[in-house]
Amino acid sequence: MSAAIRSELRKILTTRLWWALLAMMAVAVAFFAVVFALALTLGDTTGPDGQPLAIEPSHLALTVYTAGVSLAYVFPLAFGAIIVTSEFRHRTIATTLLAEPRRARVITAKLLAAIPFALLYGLVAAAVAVAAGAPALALAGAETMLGDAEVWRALGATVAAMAAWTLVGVGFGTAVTHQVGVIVGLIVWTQLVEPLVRLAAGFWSAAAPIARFLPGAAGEAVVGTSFYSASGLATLLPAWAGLLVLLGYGLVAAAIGWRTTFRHDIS
Amino acid sequence: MDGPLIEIAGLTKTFGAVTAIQDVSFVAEPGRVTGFLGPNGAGKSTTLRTLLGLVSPTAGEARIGGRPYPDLDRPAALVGAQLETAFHPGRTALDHLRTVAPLVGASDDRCDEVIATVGLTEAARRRVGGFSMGMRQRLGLATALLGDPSALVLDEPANGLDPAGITWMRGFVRAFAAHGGTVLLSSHLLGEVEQTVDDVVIIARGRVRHASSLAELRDLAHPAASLASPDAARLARLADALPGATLTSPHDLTVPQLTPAELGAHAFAAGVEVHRLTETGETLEQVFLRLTEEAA
Ligand SMILES: Nc1ncnc2c1ncn2[C@@H]1O[C@H](COP(=O)(O)OP(=O)(O)O)[C@@H](O)[C@H]1O
Ligand SMILES: [Mg+2]
Repeated sequence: MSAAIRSELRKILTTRLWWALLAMMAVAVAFFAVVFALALTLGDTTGPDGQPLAIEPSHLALTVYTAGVSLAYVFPLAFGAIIVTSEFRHRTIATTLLAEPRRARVITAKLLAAIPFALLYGLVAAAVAVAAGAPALALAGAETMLGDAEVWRALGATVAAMAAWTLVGVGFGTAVTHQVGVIVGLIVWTQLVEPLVRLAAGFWSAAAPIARFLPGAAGEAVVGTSFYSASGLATLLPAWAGLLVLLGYGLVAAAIGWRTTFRHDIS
Repeated sequence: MDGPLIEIAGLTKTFGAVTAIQDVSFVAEPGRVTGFLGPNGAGKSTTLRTLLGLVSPTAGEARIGGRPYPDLDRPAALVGAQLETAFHPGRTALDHLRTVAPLVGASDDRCDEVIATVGLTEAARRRVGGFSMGMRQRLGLATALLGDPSALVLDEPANGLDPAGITWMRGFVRAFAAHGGTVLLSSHLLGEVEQTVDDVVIIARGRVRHASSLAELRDLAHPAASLASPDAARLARLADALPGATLTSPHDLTVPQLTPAELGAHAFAAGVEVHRLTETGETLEQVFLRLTEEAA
């Protein structure tokens, strides 16, 4: 097993993908942190009732620091998917399976090899959110709240959520294997389809408890703050449950891939 | 080196309505180069992929050293295989080998070694995306050699190689078999591997049409001879005496089923003055074509 993991780690480290996506993610997180910090402090914060919206300093800081995750999860997700799909796209899967014909082992090795990178994506996302968000908050005259335990809990949750999204990517990459299809499919689902489903579920109380288990909702639950929950449209699972549900999606997708695509003839 | 015996027994594979191969059986023996020959679409790649566990057969089985490939302990250390030349374009040649190395128990030094063996040392640190077909074939062979195997299974290894590359590949494969290794290689051109192989297995439309040594295949060639003479009258009489003989011109006679020696003897006995006597029988390539085109 360790040989298979070493092989997968080398595959990741010998192409530009991991750091190219990491760099793009860092830029995206920094951008969203700054935009949210400035928009929420300097923008028009008048509520519908004409009274100024009172945003608590800790809530403001939390929103700024976690803004990246609510959109930048697509980078670790794409990274996880591509480390599987690129083997099919470039047809290198035959070489891999010639050297290691035990296909379940190949999938497991890919999941395990992705973990250090998953944590790296999470750590970089949290670090960049603070590095860009805190000065922006300070500049706008708001409190950075870096002494607040709640902020640090949310940053830790960011690391966990980003890491879990990476494994969701690996799992779905295994099940679908079509590179563009799986990435576009996951983004369209989490950004467009799922919000609509959750919105609809909000009007039908019986569906609301089920909507909490959708992947996007689970991801938001991990961090605990989001547009949707802030807008009161949906109730979320507890953070730990959200993390388990998200990881569950990754593992179930990987298991489906093992029983389907990885069972197929490689010809 | 003691190469394993490669046995293919009754392999059949259907893809939906398409029967890619049907009841394919043959062996490739250690110490010999076996050429697996057939036109495009004959079923060569399907057979080799099934042998290597990438395609599951509809019926039949394939064994290497007595066991199916996926059941071997460290398969790539017994059998080096090269199928299509597919690599990640963004990886360098050396990095490509290093990604496979842990799985076959090869060190970094071994990667350098096989890259030198195939003559790619200069290009080792270049991205594969810029490689020519010939360079990819060499890198594919280097990958196959990484685990220091005693058998080689190569699908169309001469494709895209220049004449110098083909000569080099021939020398390499011959030496590998001379040291006791088993070599099974496919080609759609007999001429390309005629000087490389000891045994031939000919497949067409999914079925094995012929399996023998190359020498026995040569013996299947229908002989024929032709003769030129200035004496049109005696030549015409000789033509009448020999069954199947045709005069392609008043001075040129062609006779099927006779060797030049036999035709020369007939001419001598008939007092025909001979200016030229040539072998015009089937070439090996023509025998190959005839066998692939014959009805099953
Ligand atoms: N995955 C597949 N699905 C459907 N048909 C296939 C597949 N692979 C091969 N075939 C068919 O099987 C036959 C043999 O193909 P192949 O083994 O690639 O031949 P060769 O390598 O001798 O050119 C062809 O008719 C080909 O179209
Ligand atoms: Mg082929």
